[in-house]
Amino acid sequence: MSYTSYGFLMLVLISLLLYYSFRGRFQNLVLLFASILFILWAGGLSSLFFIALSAAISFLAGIAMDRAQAGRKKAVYVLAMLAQGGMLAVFKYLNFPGYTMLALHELRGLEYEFTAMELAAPLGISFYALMQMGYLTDVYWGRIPHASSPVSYGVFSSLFLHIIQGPIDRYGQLAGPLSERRRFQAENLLNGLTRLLWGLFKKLVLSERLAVFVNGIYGDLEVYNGSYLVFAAICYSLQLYTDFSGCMDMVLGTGELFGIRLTENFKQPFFSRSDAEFWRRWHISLGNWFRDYLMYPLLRTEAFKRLGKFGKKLFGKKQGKKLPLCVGLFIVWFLLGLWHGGMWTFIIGSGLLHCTYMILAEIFEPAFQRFYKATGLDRENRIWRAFQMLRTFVLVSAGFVFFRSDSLTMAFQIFRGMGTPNGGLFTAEGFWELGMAPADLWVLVLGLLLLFAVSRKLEQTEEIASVGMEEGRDQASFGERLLAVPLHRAVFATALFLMVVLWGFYGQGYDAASFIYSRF
Amino acid sequence: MSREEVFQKLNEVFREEFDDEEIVVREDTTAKDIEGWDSLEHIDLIAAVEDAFSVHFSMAEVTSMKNVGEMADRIMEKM
Repeated sequence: MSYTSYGFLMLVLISLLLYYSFRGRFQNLVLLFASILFILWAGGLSSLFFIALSAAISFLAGIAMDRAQAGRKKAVYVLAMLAQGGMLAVFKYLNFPGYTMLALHELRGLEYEFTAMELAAPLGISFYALMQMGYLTDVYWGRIPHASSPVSYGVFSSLFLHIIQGPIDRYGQLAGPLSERRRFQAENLLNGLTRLLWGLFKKLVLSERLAVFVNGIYGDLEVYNGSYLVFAAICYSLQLYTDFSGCMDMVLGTGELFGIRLTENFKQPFFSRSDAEFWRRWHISLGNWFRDYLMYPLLRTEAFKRLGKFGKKLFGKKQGKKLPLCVGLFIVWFLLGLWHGGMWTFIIGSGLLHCTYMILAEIFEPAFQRFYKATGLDRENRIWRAFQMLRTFVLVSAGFVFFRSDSLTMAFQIFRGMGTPNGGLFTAEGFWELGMAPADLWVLVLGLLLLFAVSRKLEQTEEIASVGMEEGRDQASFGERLLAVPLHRAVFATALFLMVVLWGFYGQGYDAASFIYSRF
Repeated sequence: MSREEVFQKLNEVFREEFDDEEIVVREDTTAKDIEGWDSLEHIDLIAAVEDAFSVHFSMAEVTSMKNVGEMADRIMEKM
């Protein structure tokens, strides 16, 4: 069951009615029951079993850790983490050795016969496994007390809003709201609906139209090259953004209907001026997870501290301290890429490529500083800022080419093809053969302009935090930031509703189950 | 060590770490206020503060301190 299906709509409506008819504890039971139903519907009994098992392990380990002595506490923590990590590894990385052999052969231009083993992974395992490990680590570190209510922990572990595609929420942030009675507020309804419709608009009106170009061009690499491939790469970056962030708008909007604020996952990523900044604005909850639970602990180990001292001896104080950072970045980004799946297109496109960008940025930073000083360039100059954003978009889009490709061979074919002189896209005949109807093109162009205008407005009302876990918590909601007057918000929501109904891709014959990130 | 002295020393550490003699840290200074204080620089900064005050921050503290004021609180508790 996808978030764009009628089944989901009905589930939300019925749950909402029951939810606001009950008090405190029963509200969580409604959420738990709705989540169980959703998991059964979308993932079957085995998914429910593994999600429940995962939750039970963490819940019990949390209690045990808080009661145990120091030595025992660590043992419980390690065992519980191994159990969670083990399940993730078995379900997701069974084919990793095979894919690695395949990638090695591809790089040498050789054939390799490999059939991936089929093992149906539980629904959303990539997301819920990280949430469980985050909870265990927070309790182990003493950052939060263990969960005491199995119902409230069950809701956190199974919540139908974040189980498929995140956000990767933290129990410490949801425990409070889940322990209070949530009263029906017209404000939440209006804000939630506006955001939900905004998400639907991004997904059904924009993303699905962009997909027409992307699928058409990438589906026939023998025919399309040159300008077509550059265009497809641009369209895919926008498609992925509207698809994934659209889904997050729907999830966070629905959360607001229930009076629950989930973690923000996107903050206008294409306004980023560097690759590092991009990752503070794109899939934020994933980046933060890797930062807090992997990068920081890694850099604080004795081994990395020694590496830092060694680096300082070798390269001097300023550059030398970057040595542990670069090694840490490599490990973290490799695992970030791997998280998306055992395929090397992910490991490179969503991992090592970005790690390379960031390491180069670190190494050349002194040179950039000298350049700025020598030229007296104003870095806040609009043209310079626009150039930096464009450069970041190009770098990131290169990563998404790998991400979209079925194999490394296909990715390399796309990059090579981009160099072929073919300006066919710019001829009327060459453009329209891509299968986009003129009316649809108008909707897409106007829709993208609206997306840009809304993003700019949002950009003006928020700040991008870079350190700490508190970001985005006390901010006004999406709707309030966009339009201060409730009446304006209602008009905007109505207009969105009409646009989604008139121009959305849905209904019979449309495969609504295809959010890109739901495969992870 | 008084709170003022803690802040004075913190100021020195920040100036050294971010290579900027104009930095003045206050209670409510956060990563947003200082150029270069990103997640990559954060651990280096923490290590420099630990060395300067001979204290040790736990992982919970490293990941949850919200501003320099909170950092000063933790330092004073530990000294």
